[in-house]
Amino acid sequence: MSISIQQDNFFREEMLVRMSLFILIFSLLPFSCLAQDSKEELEEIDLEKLADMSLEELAKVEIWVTTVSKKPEKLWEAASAVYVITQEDIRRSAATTIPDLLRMVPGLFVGNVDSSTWIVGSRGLANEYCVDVLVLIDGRQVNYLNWGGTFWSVQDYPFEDIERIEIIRGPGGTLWGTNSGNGVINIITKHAKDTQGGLLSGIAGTDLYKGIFRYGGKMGEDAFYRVYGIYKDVDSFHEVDGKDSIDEWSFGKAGFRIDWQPSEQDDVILQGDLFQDDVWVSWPTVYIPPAFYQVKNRYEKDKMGGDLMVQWDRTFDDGAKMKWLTYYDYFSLAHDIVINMNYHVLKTDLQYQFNPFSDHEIIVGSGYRLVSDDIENGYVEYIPQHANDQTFTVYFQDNYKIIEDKLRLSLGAQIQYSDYSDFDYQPTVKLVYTPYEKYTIWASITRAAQHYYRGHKEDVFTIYSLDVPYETGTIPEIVRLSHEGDVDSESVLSFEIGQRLQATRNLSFDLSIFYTIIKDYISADPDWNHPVLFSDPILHYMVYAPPGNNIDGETYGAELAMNAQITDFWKLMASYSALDIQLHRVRNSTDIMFYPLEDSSPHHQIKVQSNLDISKDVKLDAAYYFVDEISNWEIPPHGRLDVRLGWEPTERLEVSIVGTNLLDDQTHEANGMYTAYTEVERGVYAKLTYRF
Amino acid sequence: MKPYLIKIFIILMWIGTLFPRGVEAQASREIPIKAAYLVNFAKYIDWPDSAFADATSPIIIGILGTDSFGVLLDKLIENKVVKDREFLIKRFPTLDALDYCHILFIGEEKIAMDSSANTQNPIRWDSAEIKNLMEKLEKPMLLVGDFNGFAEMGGHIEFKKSGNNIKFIFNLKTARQAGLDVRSSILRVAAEVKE
Repeated sequence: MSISIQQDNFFREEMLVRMSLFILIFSLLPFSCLAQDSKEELEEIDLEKLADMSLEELAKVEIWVTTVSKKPEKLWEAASAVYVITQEDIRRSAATTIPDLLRMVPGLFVGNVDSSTWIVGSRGLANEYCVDVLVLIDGRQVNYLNWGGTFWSVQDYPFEDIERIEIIRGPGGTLWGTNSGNGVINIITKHAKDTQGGLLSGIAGTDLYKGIFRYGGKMGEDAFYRVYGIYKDVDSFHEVDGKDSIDEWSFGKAGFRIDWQPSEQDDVILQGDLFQDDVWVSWPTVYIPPAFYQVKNRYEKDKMGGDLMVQWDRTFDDGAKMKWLTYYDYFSLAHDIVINMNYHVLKTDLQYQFNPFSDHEIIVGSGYRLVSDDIENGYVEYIPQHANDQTFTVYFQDNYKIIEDKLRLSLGAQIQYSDYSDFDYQPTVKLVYTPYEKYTIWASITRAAQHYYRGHKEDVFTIYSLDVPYETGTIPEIVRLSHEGDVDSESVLSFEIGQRLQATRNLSFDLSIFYTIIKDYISADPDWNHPVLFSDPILHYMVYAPPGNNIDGETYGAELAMNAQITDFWKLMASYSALDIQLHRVRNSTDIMFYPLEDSSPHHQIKVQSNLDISKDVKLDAAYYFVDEISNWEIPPHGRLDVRLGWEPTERLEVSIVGTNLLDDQTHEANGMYTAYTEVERGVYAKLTYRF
Repeated sequence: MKPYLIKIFIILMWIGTLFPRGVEAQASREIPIKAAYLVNFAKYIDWPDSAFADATSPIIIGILGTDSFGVLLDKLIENKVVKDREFLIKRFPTLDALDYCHILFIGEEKIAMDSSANTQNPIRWDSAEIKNLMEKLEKPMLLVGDFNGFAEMGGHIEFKKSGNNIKFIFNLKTARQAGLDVRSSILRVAAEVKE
């Protein structure tokens, strides 16, 4: 965990030189392309080609492929750092899990901890249980806030049935609410009408087996349905020293979605899922609290759960829109000596969007959420063991078109009351200026708040923590992190500015720069001078660490992305992102738990993706990711290369061979809590998809 | 803030100021794709001989209401020959002006007759007008509509956006009723076939 300051500085100097070169190349690109590009010429070539196409080919032509960004206009004009993963991106990616798909997003950090655990960090403070990135599937929140973080192992869906994934880096702001301070990941599945018929898909590889089934049909005149099932089996990773870890993982999930259009104005969606996750974690440790102890090398981290959601959208004659969403979510975690819990969420949200004046679009909404849990304590201890938390939310946003199609101002605020955190107030101001049709510049200021809904007020929240794996024969030093005091919500105030440019029809850029002020992040302040020696049940030291809001800081950085359709058959996407996090312990804090997070994110990331159409049916795709040093986890700078070769002999059949992490036998990507430091191996798999 | 980051910010912002010079480019291919479809449909539909004046007379594509294709469609049919026939384009601003054509494209918007009409809310066809039109047809005409519910109303082909693609719904029942001979291969491509 210690960092050599000198080395760090040397490294940054060198990176600065590299980065300047990179930026220089980026800045010259638009000119080289402009020189040889004439709009009329291109359009005619395009038209010639269209005229000679067959119906089958026409049905596959992408409407937006010419605007390289692929984004619908709405996103093009968004006043946030937005990125969209399209179905095409998904199909051509080497990923078999959603977090691996997210690797392509500029600026996002994705690290695979062990076979079933991922860290997805946006703009810093990446850790397994972060509460600052909101993850949604069709509007249903899937991160569990009493424990924090997202269990990515259970967030799976048939990739062919995902419409797109929208990612906002930076505060989600008014419409997304608390716990979206650093990002929103919104997975949107397809309308059941677009997934008619059957699909069978199988993956077999060096480290995993996965099978996917889907069938979609029609119910009566106005309704469509689909059902799906996923099963997979993942082999264990290797530990840092090369020996086999014991973190095997198997997962099964099944679900359905019904889309019903009772009238022209109404859309009703009913969907549900059930899943079960069997995970093993390897972590040699000693478990002490309070009256017994246990030494374990391997334990389970099983999850199961399900959800049921109904959504109703109505469009009124005057263009106003209403959206109503209600869901119930059940989740259970059997984490052996760490924690066992059952978790229920009931949420309902009503949103109304209308245009009282032609230049104002107003969105108002309100929501209610009930979270209820039952906990069996382990390493992580909650008192009381059963609690209910209610959250009430109201929000409004006014999108004011100051100049039609040119200048737009958005003002909004969300006020949330929760049993655990009282009032959180989250205002946003955003300005979008579009001086030319394909050039947008935007700026925003947002305040966002976040909290763990457990561990506040009269609650006692305790983590017994050991910094290193336990070695038999030593006296363990246990830190008892206890939230016995009143802890306030954490807050961020984020300033962002960005621009997007469609430089030519084949080249687009997206740049965002941010500066975020962090206030009152939760700290655990151990009293190192007064360790208490206990001899029962075995000899150990206990260091008490009462909580506080004693970490302030700032994060800043930039993300630059480029999309280039170099020729008809070759598309290249590249991005560079810089990030720096400075955390300060204030009010004499002695925190050791959260403060090191400032060094848990890479300072620099470079991502390059290439999609090459070798012929109409054969496609070669590659992605390279460079991740800078992560000093807190002692991870050196490293690169990752994924390559995919796909062949589509008929409309019904697709075969692909994929190699992942090809540059290294095994790579250390990230560290988690309560798990051995395992490494991602090089992998090869074959995939076969059949539609009927 | 660290000095090196300030430098980066300045460099990045400087790049930004270069950007607007490059602004050009068309956004969407939607209209060209639809135009290409119109020409392509002629390959899969057979009209009776009575629909043509003689063996060399062209296949007429009609555009009813607002013409969103412009010269694009004219360029597209240049030198195009399907079943030994060339193409001809006729534009009918209103229903009253409608004359016989082999393929009739009905856009979402009617032409606003009154120039002071609100362009924000273009006038749409209503289903009664479309039904009325179809009842009046004497010779077989392929009706292609570019709005939601057209196939439901009895129109033969309805364009529809599906993700990032443009597909179509085919109403086989009404197309056959209209006297059109439909080749089965078009049905395989259709997103949906109404029978």
